[in-house]
Amino acid sequence: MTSFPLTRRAALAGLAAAGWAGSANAQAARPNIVVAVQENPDLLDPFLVISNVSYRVQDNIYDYLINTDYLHDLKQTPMLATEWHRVDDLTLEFTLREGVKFHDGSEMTAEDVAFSFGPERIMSPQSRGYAPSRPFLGTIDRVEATGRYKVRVITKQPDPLIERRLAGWGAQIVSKKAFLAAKDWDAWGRAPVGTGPYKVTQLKSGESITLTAHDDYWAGKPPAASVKFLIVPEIAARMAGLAAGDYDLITEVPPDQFKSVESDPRMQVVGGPILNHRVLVYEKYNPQLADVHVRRALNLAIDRQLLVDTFWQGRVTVTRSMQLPSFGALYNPDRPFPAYDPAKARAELKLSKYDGTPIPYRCIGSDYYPNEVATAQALIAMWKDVGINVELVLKENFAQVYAPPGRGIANTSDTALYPDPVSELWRRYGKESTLQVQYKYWSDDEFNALGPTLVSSLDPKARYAAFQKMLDIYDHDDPPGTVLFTVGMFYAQRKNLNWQPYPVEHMDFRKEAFSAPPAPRKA
Amino acid sequence: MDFILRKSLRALLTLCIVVTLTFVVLRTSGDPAIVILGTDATPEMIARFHADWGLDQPLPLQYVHYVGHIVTGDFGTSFLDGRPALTVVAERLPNTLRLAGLGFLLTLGLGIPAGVLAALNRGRLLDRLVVTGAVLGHSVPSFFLAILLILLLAVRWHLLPSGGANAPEAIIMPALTIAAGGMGSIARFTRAAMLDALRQPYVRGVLARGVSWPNAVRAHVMPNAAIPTLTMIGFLLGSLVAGAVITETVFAWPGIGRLIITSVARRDLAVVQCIVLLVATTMVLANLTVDLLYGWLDPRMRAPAQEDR
Amino acid sequence: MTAAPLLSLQSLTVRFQTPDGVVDAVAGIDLDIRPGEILGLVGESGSGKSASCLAVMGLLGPYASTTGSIRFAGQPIAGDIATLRGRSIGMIFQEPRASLDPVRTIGSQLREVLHLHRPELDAQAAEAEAASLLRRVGLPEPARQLRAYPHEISGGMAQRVAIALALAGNPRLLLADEPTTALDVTVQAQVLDLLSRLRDETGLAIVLVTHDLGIVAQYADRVAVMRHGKVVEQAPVHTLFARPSHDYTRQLLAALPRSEADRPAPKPVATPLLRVTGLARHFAQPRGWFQPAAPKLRAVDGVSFDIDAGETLAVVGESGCGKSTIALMLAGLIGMTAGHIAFAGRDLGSTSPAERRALRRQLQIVLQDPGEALDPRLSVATQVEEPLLIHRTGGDRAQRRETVRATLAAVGLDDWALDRRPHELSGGQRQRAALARALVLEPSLLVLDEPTSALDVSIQAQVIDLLTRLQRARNLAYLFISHDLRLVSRVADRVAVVYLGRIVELAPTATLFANPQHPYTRALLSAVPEPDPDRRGRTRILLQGEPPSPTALATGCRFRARCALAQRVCASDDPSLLPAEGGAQVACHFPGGAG
Repeated sequence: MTSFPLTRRAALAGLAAAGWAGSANAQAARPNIVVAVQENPDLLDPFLVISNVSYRVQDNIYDYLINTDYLHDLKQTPMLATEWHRVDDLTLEFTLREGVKFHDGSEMTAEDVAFSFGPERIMSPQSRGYAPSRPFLGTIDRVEATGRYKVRVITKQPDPLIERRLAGWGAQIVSKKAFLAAKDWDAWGRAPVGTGPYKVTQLKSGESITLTAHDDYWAGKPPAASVKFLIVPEIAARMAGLAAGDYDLITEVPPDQFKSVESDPRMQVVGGPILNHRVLVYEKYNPQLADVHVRRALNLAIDRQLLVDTFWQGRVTVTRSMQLPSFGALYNPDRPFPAYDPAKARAELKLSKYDGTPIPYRCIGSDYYPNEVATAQALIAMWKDVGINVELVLKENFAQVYAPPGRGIANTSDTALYPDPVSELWRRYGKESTLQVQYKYWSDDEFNALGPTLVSSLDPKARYAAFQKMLDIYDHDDPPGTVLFTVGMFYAQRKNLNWQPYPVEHMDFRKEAFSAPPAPRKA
Repeated sequence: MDFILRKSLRALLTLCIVVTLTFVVLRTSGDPAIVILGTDATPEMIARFHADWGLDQPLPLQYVHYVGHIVTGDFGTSFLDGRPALTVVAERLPNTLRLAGLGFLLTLGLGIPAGVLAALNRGRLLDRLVVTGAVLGHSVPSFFLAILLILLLAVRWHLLPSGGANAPEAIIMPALTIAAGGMGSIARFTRAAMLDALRQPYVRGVLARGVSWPNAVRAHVMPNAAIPTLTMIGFLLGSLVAGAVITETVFAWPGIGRLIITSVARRDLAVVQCIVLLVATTMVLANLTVDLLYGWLDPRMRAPAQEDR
Repeated sequence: MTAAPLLSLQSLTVRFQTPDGVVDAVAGIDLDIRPGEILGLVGESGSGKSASCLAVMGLLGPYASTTGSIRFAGQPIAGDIATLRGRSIGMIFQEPRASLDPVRTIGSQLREVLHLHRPELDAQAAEAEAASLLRRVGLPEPARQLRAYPHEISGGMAQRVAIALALAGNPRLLLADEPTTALDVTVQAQVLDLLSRLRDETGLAIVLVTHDLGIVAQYADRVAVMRHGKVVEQAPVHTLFARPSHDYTRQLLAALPRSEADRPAPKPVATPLLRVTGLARHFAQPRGWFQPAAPKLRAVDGVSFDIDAGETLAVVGESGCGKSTIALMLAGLIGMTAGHIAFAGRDLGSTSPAERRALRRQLQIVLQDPGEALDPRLSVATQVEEPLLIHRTGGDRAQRRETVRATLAAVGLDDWALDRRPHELSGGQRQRAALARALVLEPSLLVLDEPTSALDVSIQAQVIDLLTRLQRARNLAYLFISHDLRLVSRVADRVAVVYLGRIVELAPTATLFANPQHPYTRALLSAVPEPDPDRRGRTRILLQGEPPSPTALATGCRFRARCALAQRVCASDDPSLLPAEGGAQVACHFPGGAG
């Protein structure tokens, strides 16, 4: 459907081949970047560990058929495919880039692409990749190699999002030869082979992951000689190490540390909101919360901007319900912000049969989310203000949070895996979501009935209408929870590193991430 | 012999209790499938995980299997990366052994002489310095001490790396941190034991026989003071393990202490059990060693006490 | 009298810096000790006798300062005392075992000293010399003793070892600081005889520090009496006892309990106040899992006696004989393995709990060390009142207070003592308070377990007087446990001599002292140093060795291993307690030494 004969990335690649890589000095000067992180994934296959710790490492190891240009409105650009078009409602045909080398030196061909989506990886229910791939790639029927550099992707039903899916998590292209050579999935996960700019040279479980430049990278030599993700669990130790010059970049910098980072002229905070909403979920079957007026009152009592200013120093945003501007055609820029109206909240409460019984609010006591407990306490005060009695219950992990009985309100965050509501609102709250199926927190027939249109309609208008109606249900008609604000992801780095984070959890050490001026993005 | 056998049986019982408690607590406080796969995991994924790891069986059966495997030396496989738990632990063990070993040496090597010197100079400046230092070392939280050391030695003076285990000198700060508390305790305890020994009538007796003061201290006071101090050293090993957890976290030291935190948080039962067994065995062996040394140092412990009545 | 003094003290003062201020422990004394002489240094605790010895040795510690002159063999010793220690002057102490390093063998401690003073000896020679030293102090099996640790030998043996250690450097003067106070009377006699013999053999001069005038009378050539840091009188021993010139000396001599019993024998009564039959207490020995059961420790092994109202029965014997165990069983503090205790005709074992409680109230105990028996945190009044509360008797608060006050007055403590805590009282006052606590329930029988052995001679005399007065006033019966035969002769109506858990002789006091029937009784009596230097020449029966362990009892008579009269029958038949002359009962095949 779309074709990008010459892209920015390709242009840069050309530039690199001509200038950058030609200079011996530049090569010698390639830095060995040390990133101090809170935690690392133990395995490096997209289906074995699905969490932000694996997002930030794995995108440097693998490429996709289609690239997402995070710095330019998440536009889709060629990556391992140079061109693609729809053959029919179900079929998409890709032309692959020639001469792309895997980390082991072999060439990537259509066989590898077909294998990456084949039965050994994701299609056979016996495969370990089957279950975890369903939410991402469940609409794909099969992927066929039709030539050495030609691949066809056939979906089970019309899928308006197939390009987004193929540019998103789980669609990484792996080496068939290397995968089959590995003893088992775990062994593969410790030494994966992709076509990305860096190859895995060392994985010390619980200590560090070292990636080394894949100098045969199709887009030119990577800008760093190596990138080491070193686990430093304590933020104070990460900060000190950055100040001491031991680390170039540190992750998970909480807002209360921004001042102290920026008091050092050699350091800077980068980052901002990512495609992720920090939300509350309400258990619809809790005796108090079963009453929709109570849930509406809860929503109306929250001063979201106050939370953003207090706990995030204004660096994250309040959004117009669970949508993001990057949703493009599905985004409604005129949808009102969630209201903060205590008077109306009290009015809603009057309509309800709420008798003051405390509603449990389960939090993870060790602050899984930044300031989780403090935020919860602020919320409880706001709710108390309108007459709702909420009780904080501290838990150790999510299994405990979601275990019945005694559930009520809980914290979670909803990630848009790609810029479309299917990857967020529907994935998290839809008919097949764990919230409905596994945990039985909430269900709404009308919401579920709108799903198929959102998921499979090729008509953008119909999808827009369905999405906006679902948001009405989310916000007002039968709220399963509410959006508080966007999640912020903040890093601190030495200023002359000039690394640029994306509005996602991924950390990219390709040239693009070093190309933009290091001005902090405004939230 | 009988003594060792009795102690060993008691130790074995301790280990059984530890294993069972760990199993019960870990298994009843959160499904590892959800903890590891995340709340996004589909029911199929969770079912798959349960089936793969035998978590779908009734808890008592799981326990029987688990214990059965342990008895045959099979500690199970890590949920997280599919490697044998023993391999995962063994990979980290040398780091912790190095850290705890150096910490232990520092604790004894600095703590005991400090206590001895303080006791011999009771009431003088040196004594007061040691006592103050010991109280500080004992009471300053190791987290605070660790950050202070990092800020001074790594950030301010650039003498040492702020964390990690790569450079050989990287061990200095964590070892000091882990040793500080124990050093304080052992210095105070040694001082007290020395003062007590110095007060004993045999010291006067030895001097009256013409033995010089330094020799009396070396050959009579110190061996006697060593007996109560030894008990303290036994306790100290326990605090070293506890200290390793905090110290390894702050200094990004890839050892057992940090492994147990992540493994417990993620309900990686096999690894947790492996570590718990390791730590418990170490403690039990340490205490056994202390008991044996006790008997060696104190002849009164060897035979049943004879009542003078 | 012509020899130049070996040690000469002139104007010696010792001053201690204590938290309560400066204390002059020794306030200027002049004292000479001549070669080969035994000087008895007597006085009560705190009189400065130990401090003087420690001053000579330079072992007073950092809080003491010494002035005056100390000359040894004519040379002043000040800075170089360390070189004289062990080599020229040796010293032994009161607690023999405590003065040995508990974690080193006796051989190792001997070798250390030998190496120091006689470096010319090689390892083998030192080992031989160590053994010969042990032989010299009369230790059997020196080779085995060399490998023993201090806790493995008895107190008497430990004191012999300490003497051996002190003699290793061949000193010319031995300072013996209460060397036998912690020992039993028969062992005391052995040790003192040893010292005396060493003096005779080697010309060793000895300063014998003691509070016991009997020891002085028996062993010293010359006596110096100390009081409040001063030497109040110095005289040859015969002169001192015959013509004491200082008031204090006369006072000390007067306070001595004389061995001659003068109490009339009591008349037997139909129903005794207390009747004890076949009393026994066995203790299980600790053992390993796979060891055969160790023999039981038979601390008390079948003891029977009566006590009448108003009577004092003394139980005497050496440490370990079981006399304290008897006291504890009577007081109900430990259970008994066998036997019956009948109080006022009622068997305690078969009465109802309520009645037993009431009977128990009639029977109270006073322990040896009042410091241990009193709670340091509570006032005297509270502690004396406590039994009233426990037994829910004594009326209301005010009445109880009055009872406490009256009881304290009866033991000679005025109202001042009411609100004192034990540490504010002297040793004698503490024992009075403990006594008051036992008396407040108005018992008819008091068990007194070594009630005065922790007290000084003069205080001891006061407490004994008090006990006698109380007995007369209240018709109290006493079971008086003691190792001090002289004391017993003064207070008891009848005496039971206990050896290894059995009564070997039970007799009216006068009979027992005048005509002891059992060889053990005779040995005990003869070991008591009499405070009369003129009776030095009397023949004494000295027991050898020490009592065997109550776990390894031989067949037949328990005493036969140490008995000079033992014959074949003694090995086969265990003698029972049978009537003998003078109202005595004796457990011996040859009572009265017929042989």
